[in-house]
Amino acid sequence: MSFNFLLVDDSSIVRKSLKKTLALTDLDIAAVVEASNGEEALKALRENWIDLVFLDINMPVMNGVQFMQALSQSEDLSDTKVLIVSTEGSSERIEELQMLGALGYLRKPFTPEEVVEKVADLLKGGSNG
Amino acid sequence: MDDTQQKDFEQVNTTILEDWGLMMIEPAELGSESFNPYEAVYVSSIQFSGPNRGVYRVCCQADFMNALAQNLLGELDDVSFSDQEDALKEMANVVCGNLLTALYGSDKTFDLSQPLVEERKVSDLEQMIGEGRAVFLADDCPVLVSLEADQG
Repeated sequence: MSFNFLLVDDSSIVRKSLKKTLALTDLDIAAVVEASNGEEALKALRENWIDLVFLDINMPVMNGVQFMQALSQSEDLSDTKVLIVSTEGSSERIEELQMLGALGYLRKPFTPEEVVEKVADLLKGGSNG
Repeated sequence: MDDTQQKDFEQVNTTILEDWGLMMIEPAELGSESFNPYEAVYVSSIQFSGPNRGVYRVCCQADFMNALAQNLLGELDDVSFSDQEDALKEMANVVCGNLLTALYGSDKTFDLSQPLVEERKVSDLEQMIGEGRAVFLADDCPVLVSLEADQG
């Protein structure tokens, strides 16, 4: 089974770095779509089948919290799997994002091994916060 | 910033430059010899607000920005200036987020601004940097980091 990923981060270097990390895993990747804010990400979700979204929080135009709010209110996109990838350390904000449907959280900086572990877990259908 | 906070400040910066930036870090002193006075200094700043307000800054020169971007991208050749700037902004973002948790705890929620990069002169540095500061050599390139924060 091959997977489609959506990388949502305003930093192109983070997207490039994450893309390289994913390419080094043994995951069968069909496509990696990129978006630099939540608004672009919503558009990308409507145009592509996405198995997992990697979502930054601190972004211009539409941030990660606003994106999750929009996603949770969407009839057709609310089942989208989202992994938060952020420097956010506030337990209150992480809980808020989980309440809005985020399945996991990866704190920057992260190692390639942590990415692989989280992705494998989420694509199996599990949630490890 | 008390001694414990200063230690945390130095530790978070060092750990992130080592583990994320993949650089060799040595502590250094801020002095006229640290930066090349004939080259520009690039300052990335990010503001935070919440229980405490303030700004975190990282100041460096072109050789550091290029080395950081190369490491993040796994590139051996020089990378574009745009990627270098992006790397410096992301460093400010990553360090600031982790610093706030280390200094104030995970029960506090902060909002971060979008990080910016501006070009300055070496002579501007002293007036720009805050009370909490540290200087490192990262892969032999000088880096000055500083934090200004109110007492909440």
